[in-house]
Amino acid sequence: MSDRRIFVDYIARTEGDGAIDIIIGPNGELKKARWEVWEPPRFFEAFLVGRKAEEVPEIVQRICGICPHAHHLAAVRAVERAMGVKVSEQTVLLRELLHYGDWIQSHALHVYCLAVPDFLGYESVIAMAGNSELLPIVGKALQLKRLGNDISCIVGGREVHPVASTVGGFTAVPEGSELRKLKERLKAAKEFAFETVKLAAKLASQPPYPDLVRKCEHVSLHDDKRYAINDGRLVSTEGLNVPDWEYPVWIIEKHVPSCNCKHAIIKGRDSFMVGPLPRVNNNFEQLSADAKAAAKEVGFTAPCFNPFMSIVARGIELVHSIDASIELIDELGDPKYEEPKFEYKAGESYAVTEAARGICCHGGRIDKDGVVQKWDIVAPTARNVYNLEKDFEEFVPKLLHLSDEELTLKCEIMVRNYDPCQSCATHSIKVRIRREE
Amino acid sequence: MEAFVLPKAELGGFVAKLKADYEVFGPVAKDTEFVFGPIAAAEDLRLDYDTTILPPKKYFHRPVETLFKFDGAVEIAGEGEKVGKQVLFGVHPCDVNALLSLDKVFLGTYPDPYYKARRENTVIIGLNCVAPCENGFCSSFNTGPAMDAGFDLALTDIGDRYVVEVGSAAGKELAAGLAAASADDLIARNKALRACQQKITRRIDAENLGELLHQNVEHPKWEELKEECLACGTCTTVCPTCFCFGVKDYVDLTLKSGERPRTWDSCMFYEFSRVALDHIFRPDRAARIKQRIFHKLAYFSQQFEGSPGCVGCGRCVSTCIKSIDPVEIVAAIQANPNPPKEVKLFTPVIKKITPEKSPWEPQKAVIKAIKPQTKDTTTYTFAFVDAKVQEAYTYDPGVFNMISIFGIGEAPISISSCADVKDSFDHTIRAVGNVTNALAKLQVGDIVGIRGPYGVGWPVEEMKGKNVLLVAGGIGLAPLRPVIKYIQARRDQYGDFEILYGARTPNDMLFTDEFEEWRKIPNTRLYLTVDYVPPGVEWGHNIGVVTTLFDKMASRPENTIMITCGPEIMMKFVVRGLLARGFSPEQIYVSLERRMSCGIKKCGNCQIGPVFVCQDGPVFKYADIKDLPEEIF
Amino acid sequence: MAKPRIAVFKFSSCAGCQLELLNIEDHLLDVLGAVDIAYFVMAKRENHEGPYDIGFVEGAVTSPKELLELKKIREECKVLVAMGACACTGGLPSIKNFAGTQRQAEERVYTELWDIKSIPAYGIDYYVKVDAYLRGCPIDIGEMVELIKSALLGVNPHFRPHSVCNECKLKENVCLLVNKGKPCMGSVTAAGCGALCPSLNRPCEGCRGPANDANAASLAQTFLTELGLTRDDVRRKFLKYAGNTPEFRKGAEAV
Repeated sequence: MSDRRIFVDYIARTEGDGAIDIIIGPNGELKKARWEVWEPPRFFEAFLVGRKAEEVPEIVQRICGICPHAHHLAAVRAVERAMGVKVSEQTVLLRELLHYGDWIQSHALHVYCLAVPDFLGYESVIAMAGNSELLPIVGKALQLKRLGNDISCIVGGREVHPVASTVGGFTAVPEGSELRKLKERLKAAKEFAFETVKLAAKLASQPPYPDLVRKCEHVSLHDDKRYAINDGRLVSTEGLNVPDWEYPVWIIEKHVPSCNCKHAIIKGRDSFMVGPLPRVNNNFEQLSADAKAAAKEVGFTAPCFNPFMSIVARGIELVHSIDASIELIDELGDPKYEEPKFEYKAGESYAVTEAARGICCHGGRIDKDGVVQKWDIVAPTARNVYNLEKDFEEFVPKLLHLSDEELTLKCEIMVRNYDPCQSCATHSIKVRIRREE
Repeated sequence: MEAFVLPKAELGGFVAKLKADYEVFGPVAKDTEFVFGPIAAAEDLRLDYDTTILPPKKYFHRPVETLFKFDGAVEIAGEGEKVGKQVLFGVHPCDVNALLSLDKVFLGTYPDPYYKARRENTVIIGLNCVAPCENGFCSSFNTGPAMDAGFDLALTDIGDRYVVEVGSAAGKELAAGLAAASADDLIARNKALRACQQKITRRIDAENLGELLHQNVEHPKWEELKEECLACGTCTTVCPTCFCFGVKDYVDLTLKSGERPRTWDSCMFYEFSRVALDHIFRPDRAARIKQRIFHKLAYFSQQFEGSPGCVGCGRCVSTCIKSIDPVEIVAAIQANPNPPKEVKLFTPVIKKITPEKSPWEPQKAVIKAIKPQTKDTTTYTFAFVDAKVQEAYTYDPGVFNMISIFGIGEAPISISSCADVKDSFDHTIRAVGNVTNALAKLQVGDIVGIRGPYGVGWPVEEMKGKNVLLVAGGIGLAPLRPVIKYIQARRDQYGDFEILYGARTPNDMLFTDEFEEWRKIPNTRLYLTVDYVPPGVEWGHNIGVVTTLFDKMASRPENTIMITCGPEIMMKFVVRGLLARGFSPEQIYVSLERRMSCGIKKCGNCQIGPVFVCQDGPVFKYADIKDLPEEIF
Repeated sequence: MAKPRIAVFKFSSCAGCQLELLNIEDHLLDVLGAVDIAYFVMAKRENHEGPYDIGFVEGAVTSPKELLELKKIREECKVLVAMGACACTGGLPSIKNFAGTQRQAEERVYTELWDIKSIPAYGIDYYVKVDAYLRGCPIDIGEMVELIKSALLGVNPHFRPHSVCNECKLKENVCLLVNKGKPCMGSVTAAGCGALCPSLNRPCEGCRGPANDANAASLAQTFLTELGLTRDDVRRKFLKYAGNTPEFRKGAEAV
């Protein structure tokens, strides 16, 4: 009698290198359900020690090519907190706009290029583009992604790894006229964002997805006044509500054999989820009016504990990101150049941002000469690994009737719900399902 | 001197009047520095500027300029960016003089249509300097602080007003309505300029600079500079007289249509002199530094009718991270010179060629025949598509064409046929680079672009009545084949004729099927040699480098002209061997290879000392080039 | 002519460079029309075995397992492209090569070491022959499109191996080093980025690696004696994105 094993030695359409390994015993009992991140360790925490404080945001953004802005901004704020650097209101707004640009490109990329092909039965967006009926949608998706990238370019200098943002502010600020051009494009993109929510809701309403609900703790940033993206308190659906710099106190991690990334739990409790679904659940009130309307139209109600609804949450956040960007552009008007200024000062602190795929925490200790003594990096995917394995444990037994091929695809979708960034997680995915006969 | 006055209070109105008819550019502030930029109103103008980051050269010789666009193999459209009427306001004397120097490059032989159009459409309103700039040394070359040519109007600040000198008819029109300058105004002008001149303390002693540099090609200063210099090329990018550029083809994703732009290049770049197979003629940083300094201070004026190659604007000093300074370099050499020796500065003859069409536009030519010569070398027979062009096409033995494959690029290739054949011409090409490899994929009937013929060929006139010794190595036989054909057709005009040909192996020999015919030319001997014979190959001739044939040949120095082409190392030993046998440098002609991006003395890639290989060569009398500061062989 | 088969591989890296392949939205469908993407895990579920015409490798090799994979990839690809700073020179991960022993690096990050196997980070040409380099962290989209077109045409791409200063001057940027005293590495760093960082008032950090004939030792002296950087500051500059290259090592060792 052999086990039934679902094994995907690399998970496609995710960022990085990881595997799924699921072993099902002869009586349908789950013997193993692992998401293994095989992304090799890169030792950022090690080589940051001895670097200069202002280099930290530049270096850590290179942990991830998809959410560099989240790492960058968390590190910028952690360094500023540690050294007691104050920044202008304009800088705060520009940072937020920069980050929304990343959300728009990341969500557009994930929804259309990484997730939707699963639901429509295509192996990739490239194959999808081969269907003349779907080609216009792919074209629009690429336009939306371009728009997000253009925000990053205009505010930060380029698509991947921003240049202009640094400790203390921005080395160069965008022209007001450029921002206003973006605003017009953002307005024009709204309709497609609405369509995205509808499409996502339609896809996630297909069986068996609506039945796959698992209540777990949802953690995100929260700010009463605005949808939290770069700043806020750390909150959860189970009542966590603490300042973001206390992150290391409340969220603990452990090293797991045969996996290069660390698993995370809430202090005194269990695994938890981060990402768009927890954000929409915790911050529904702060969404833009149109984003709320879009949610209502497709029947989304918060809190929602179906991880397959993450794609819908991404759609809702796309609508919100567009609205928020427009509002930020209005607030910014014609930005004026302010020289980024800071002085080295000994200190220690942490800061949290919301990467497109969930909370991202950076922090550490800096000495009086601005040399890093210690640096901690907590990336969103690493937070979700353990929670995903709990999803496997809950959902795989409900899907045992499926063929190995079907079950494998469903397991991959379960992974892609988290839009994992496996480069982040080391600090990926192979699915392996084995059933005993 | 016709002069007017422009009160400073009326500058706004003067500029506004200009704006009605012209686009106006002038010095504007950029952060802590200045640049030339568009002027909306007089308030934008910063006439108190010291210098700009880039010189106004950028308005004439654009940093990137599309020479033409293409679509498919042959369709050529477009003629560069259109230029409206423009005014450059507030150009300092150094930059005005630099433009006069650049005119010699771009308007001399093969006038460049793009540069020419902009020069003709631009009014220059100069601004004499009444205060010296930090790093300038213009008075060394009489290129400042006042200008005496090259402007339409020239302003001099005399306090509350400008004295406005008229330099052209167009300038005079613009000055209409201004009050005439009084004698006092002119005295004030002269006084201000003299005062400025006295304040310029940085100076290069320009007397006999060429000789001094020639005598100090080897000098510890160069090695010192080599350690300092970052080879970043900034000095050349900001130089108002640097003209070098590279030419490349860029295609869109159809891979068929695209454009051919020229882009500023720099002799300070390691790869500047790179040719196919990654051979680099000037790999040593010290050699590149010398090329720049020698070119600015000596070669340029040799090449272009005495025009200064350096106008002392000081930009290269201000922008250099290591503050490398021509003034200091010359002073250091003057302070510790090598013992004087007599040097002969070779100044190539300047020809002025003005073709009817744009010199950039290739003519379409069709491949009529393809004949493999060796594993990687092929002879292509071309004919111009336009029969009239073909009929009129003639060339000297030893010259070259620029061959274009649209989308891939352009390369200089010598012509391997003799112009006695009227209905076609040959190129014998080894596939080693982008263009030649692409050519190797073409078939009979395919079309390429041809520009040419260019350059100076073998001295077939001078050879008349004399014996001829021809020494070729490998592919070097290709540009010599026309001479063989030429002599064959005029056999009675030449004396004894000996051909020495060497190749690596028998399989690397070109034109082997013509050897019998050559042997039959009266009073002609053909000697062959190879470096080695692979097993199984038959070979009944000499084995050894080509100079080992010298003992067999009958040629003696008396009344003989020797012509040679092949790898430089081969030519070096051929020349040495013949000098040892009593030949004089006056009797020896060599054909040189260098990187070329234009063929018409513009791109600067092919320079050796003051020589442009493309137009002054590729064939040179050895006596002329043997003492160039940059050692050839 | 059959469409060339393209493969995209990832080693130790942030995926930013392969993401740039998807960031050519405006040309993406044209590029997809011109090539056959045979292997691209981040974008496709169905990935095919080699051989491939062009292989793009992102990331530095940092584990023995990756090294074996790289050697296999080399055999499978006619043209192998090192894509991005990590693959070209080791990139940021190579900083660890200069910060104590490998074991020390491991111990700083991981408390339980039984499962961690890593080796120093080098560019892939440390191990295999590389046919073309796309420099930068991340790569420049324009250069990537240029490389694809050149590969389709079968010619060498027109890259700019000289210094960033050249592109910076053409933009008429005020020099961050000369005029503002900032430690900009543009003069020794290979161009092709359009002098992006200096154009945004930010000193070049050398992510594209050394320019042709870079004289890093001379620049290091300027940093030390004229800009007042400490010896450690200078070493940090040159041992960042391309500390593995002999040229930048000379900069670090000059002080």
